[in-house]
Amino acid sequence: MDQEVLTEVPQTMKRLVRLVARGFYSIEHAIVIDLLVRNPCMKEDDMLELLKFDRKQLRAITNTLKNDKFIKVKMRVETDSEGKTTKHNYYFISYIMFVNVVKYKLDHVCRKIETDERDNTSRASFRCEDCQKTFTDLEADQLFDFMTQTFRCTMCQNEVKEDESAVNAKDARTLLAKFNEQIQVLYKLLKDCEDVKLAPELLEPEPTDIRSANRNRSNKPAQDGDKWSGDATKNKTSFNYTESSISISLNEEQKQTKEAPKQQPIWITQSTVEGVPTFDENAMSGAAPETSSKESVLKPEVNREIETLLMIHEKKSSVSIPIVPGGGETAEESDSDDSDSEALPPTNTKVEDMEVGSEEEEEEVVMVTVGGVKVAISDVSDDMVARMSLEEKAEFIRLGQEMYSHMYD
Amino acid sequence: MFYHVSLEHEILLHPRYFGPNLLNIVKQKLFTEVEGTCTGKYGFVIAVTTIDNIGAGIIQPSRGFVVYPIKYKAIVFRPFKGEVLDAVVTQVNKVGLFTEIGPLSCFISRHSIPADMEFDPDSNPQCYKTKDEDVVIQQDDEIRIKIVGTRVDAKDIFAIGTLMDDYLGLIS
Repeated sequence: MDQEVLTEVPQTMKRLVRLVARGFYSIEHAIVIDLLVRNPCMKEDDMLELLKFDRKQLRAITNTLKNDKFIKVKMRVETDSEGKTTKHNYYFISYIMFVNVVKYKLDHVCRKIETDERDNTSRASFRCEDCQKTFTDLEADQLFDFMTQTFRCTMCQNEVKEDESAVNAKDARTLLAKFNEQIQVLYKLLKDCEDVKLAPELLEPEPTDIRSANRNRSNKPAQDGDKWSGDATKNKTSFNYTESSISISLNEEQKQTKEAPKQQPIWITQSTVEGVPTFDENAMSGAAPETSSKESVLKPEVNREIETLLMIHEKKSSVSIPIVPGGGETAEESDSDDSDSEALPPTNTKVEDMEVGSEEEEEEVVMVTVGGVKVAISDVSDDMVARMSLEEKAEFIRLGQEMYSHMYD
Repeated sequence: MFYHVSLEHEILLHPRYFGPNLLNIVKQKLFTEVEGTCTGKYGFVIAVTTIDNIGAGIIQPSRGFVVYPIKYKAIVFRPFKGEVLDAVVTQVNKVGLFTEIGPLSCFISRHSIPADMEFDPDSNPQCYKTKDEDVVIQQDDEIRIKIVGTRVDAKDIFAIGTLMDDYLGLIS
């Protein structure tokens, strides 16, 4: 979601600007910044009038602020009542730049402290007075002599003294913690200023008519009766009230932006909650049965295909069977017959074998072929065996063995 | 921090151990050679938990010694910067404290001891104590320290610690 473009400088940003000016700059700088926070864009002359500063002094202050990229200057050529053209400087705070500069500088400080701290741990804190060899804390174990309870140089065995020149270590080691503690306020404000988009008119504000503001201010004291309390009340009324009102509106905006993404997930979840289960149900109840039914449809087809294939083959073998019915020979023959269709013969022969086996058991008449003529196995004589071809003989032996194996069972 | 890691080691065995008890001797030798040692990479080897594989022994030519490559798992202790550990004070002197965290020795410079604690050389034993003697750190006391730096050598690790952080110091 896009951050809304703010048409008013958020209070956190203003607070950040003032805090930084107060914390890191002189009082004069802080006052100039305060003035610019109150009046988005000010003419140099007006500032001089209000602050009662020297022009030189103001220039110096604005220059440092300008160099630090906190404020920007706009040059305008104006014609006064006498028709003379004069150049006027208008100052304003560039808030976005300010936030970035603060971030950058804090990061630098942080890094510097960290390197200091690291240097401290590796910094030589012991020195041999004799040979000037230095040692860090990390080498303390090598130095310490348990016999004499003193630190002895690893080179010359003389006593090692603490290097007093580097004693500020104590401060440096707690510095980072201290820094974090003190700058936490700024970090918090910076975090709040994150992703703030300001309207272009805030980035390049138009000059405010300070005289009218002054008039208002001078009017108000008159109402209150007291000049200084008037100024204070002015502060309170124009600042604190607007502050609170702004913060409320900000809060609302934040709430809205926070609520919006909260609502969206509900939408999404709702849609998914409704959509997904139905899809799932479809998938589970509708699609799955379909596929299963398809499968069940397919399966018989496949089965039928196989069956028909088998049948075709069966026919072949059954064709061959009538020629040589009931003989183990048929398997042999069909094997050689079906050399063209290789996939099926094994099953086929097996089936036949089974048939043969069952036939054997039932009829007990096993036929063999001798020179192409079928003869019952029991009638086979020695010279018949001699007449058999190699294949026929092998089959005859096989069948014989089969028969006898049955006998032993 | 403790880790359970797979490690490898080679055992060199004298031929006199060749016999029915050979593997037991190899295991025993692994324990004595490995446990309690320190490597810069893995830290201190505390204990061997399992021996995963004892490889085929290779007889060294012209020596007769045999080398067994062993794969094992062990619990190791590797100290890290920023880690908070409990230590036992072994030595107190004017430059700081020497402590031991199991096998690891750790030095705490007097600059890393809170400023309100001062070295008292006259007491027996020597100690660091606060003005009101509320907290006294002396030898054999248990203190909680934070490691601020480690020196890792090939065969040793040394640490320096600090007491300057929340909840550090004497454990009471």
